[in-house]
Amino acid sequence: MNRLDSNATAFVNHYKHLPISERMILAVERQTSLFGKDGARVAAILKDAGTRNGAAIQHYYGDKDSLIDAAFVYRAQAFNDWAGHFRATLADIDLQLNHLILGMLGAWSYILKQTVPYCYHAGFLQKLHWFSVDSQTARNMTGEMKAFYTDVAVFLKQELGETEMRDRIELGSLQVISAVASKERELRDRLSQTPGTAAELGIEIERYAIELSESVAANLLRERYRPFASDPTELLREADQRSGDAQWVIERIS
Amino acid sequence: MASKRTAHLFPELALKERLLIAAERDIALHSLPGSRIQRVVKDAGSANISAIRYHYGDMARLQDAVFFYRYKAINRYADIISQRWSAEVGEHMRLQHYVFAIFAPRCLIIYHTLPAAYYCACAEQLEILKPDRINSQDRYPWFAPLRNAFAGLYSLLSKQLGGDVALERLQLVAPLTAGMLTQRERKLREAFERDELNRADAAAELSRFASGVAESLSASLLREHYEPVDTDFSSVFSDLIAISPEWFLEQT
Repeated sequence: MNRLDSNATAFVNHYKHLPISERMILAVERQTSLFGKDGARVAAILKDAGTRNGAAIQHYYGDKDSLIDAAFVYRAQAFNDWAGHFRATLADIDLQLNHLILGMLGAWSYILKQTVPYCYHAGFLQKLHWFSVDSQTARNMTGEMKAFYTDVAVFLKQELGETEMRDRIELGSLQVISAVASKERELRDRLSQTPGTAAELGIEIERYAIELSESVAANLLRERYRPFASDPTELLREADQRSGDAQWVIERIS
Repeated sequence: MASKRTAHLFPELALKERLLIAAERDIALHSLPGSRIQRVVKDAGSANISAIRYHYGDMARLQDAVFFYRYKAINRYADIISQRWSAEVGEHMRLQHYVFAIFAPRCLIIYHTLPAAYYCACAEQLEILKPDRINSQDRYPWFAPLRNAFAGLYSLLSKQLGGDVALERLQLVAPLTAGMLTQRERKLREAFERDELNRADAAAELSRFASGVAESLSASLLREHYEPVDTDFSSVFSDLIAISPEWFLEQT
């Protein structure tokens, strides 16, 4: 395992300015992303949160499952806000399926840029199986994210018909969540060795989001695929700018 | 988890082999760092954790053995597929054929290991944390077919797109293969455990998956150069499913 993932002390120091309730969310996100829901041990979560108090989870969140839910809620608002801003930039352009996919992947890349080098959100979602179409996708998608997802489905249904749409979305969504989680992991592996500058990383992540949108659009449309008619980088940057720094949401019981 | 213990599912197997199956399951369900020797041994039907030391020496050797246990069968399927392609398509190999040769063998493993289908999830863990396990070129001679399928895919893709673009596009797709298989495996296993799926349904679904992936990942890689192929992947898959896999136990 790389140094970023294995060193609890550095993780605690990185977030030591935050309140304990927030550090627990970050810790559970990280442990779940690395080891899965069952593999994420309470002792390790507490260690990453920088506390020895075993009752802290119960005090703030009730139990581990509720803490995991809170970790989802923590980023969902920022995700949706970004997607909303991106939606606004699409008003005057000739809309392609690629843009709708970029609506989802761009939101993820925004979260990634905001959290790097401790980027665990996609892995967290992947390990919980929350974005695979099989396990009631709709349940855990909210707001703008859900709207983009629905738009993709409607677009494909018009192009290919209902049955074909379902088959292809199932394969396509497997690609999306596996891809973003593995990119996160690759970045952490690399940043453990050589830290990059924020600007360089930003460009790399943008490019990855755009390339992956092309890849997924081709996956879904196959012989009907067309590349982006114009470079969407500016659209991403505009949505980033309108979003500013992410506002995370802490929903605790006490 | 309502699933049966490994010891109950495979009473006819020797403890040495049941330990592998139990370890595979434990790593699949709890991740590699979360896996526990005590749980593995208990699931395999032994009371004594020294069974692992006796049969395998240490945990690292056990993990290797778990990985290779099904890997030989995977390569055998890949070999049969590639022979079939040389007979049927010869010089006209397309990307779809290579993708199918990479995916279908592991789909067949999923089928043949139901209800205890944990290989893909376990292998994903083992590959991520120790990628040199497969890269150790000369470990076993039977490694060749799967590696050849990867190499063939890459060489065809670079011929069509140029090496740089081929590499970049592969990086968007290649790291996902393990994750996609793991998710599919889990879905089928759970449906099987809930009695919502019988073996025939599972075969049909895996066949559809392997054929669908052959087209959809080829489209991802080739994009504007993509064209569908007219090979009937599902008939190849149903021929292969009749061949039972043989698992590999290293003699110590």
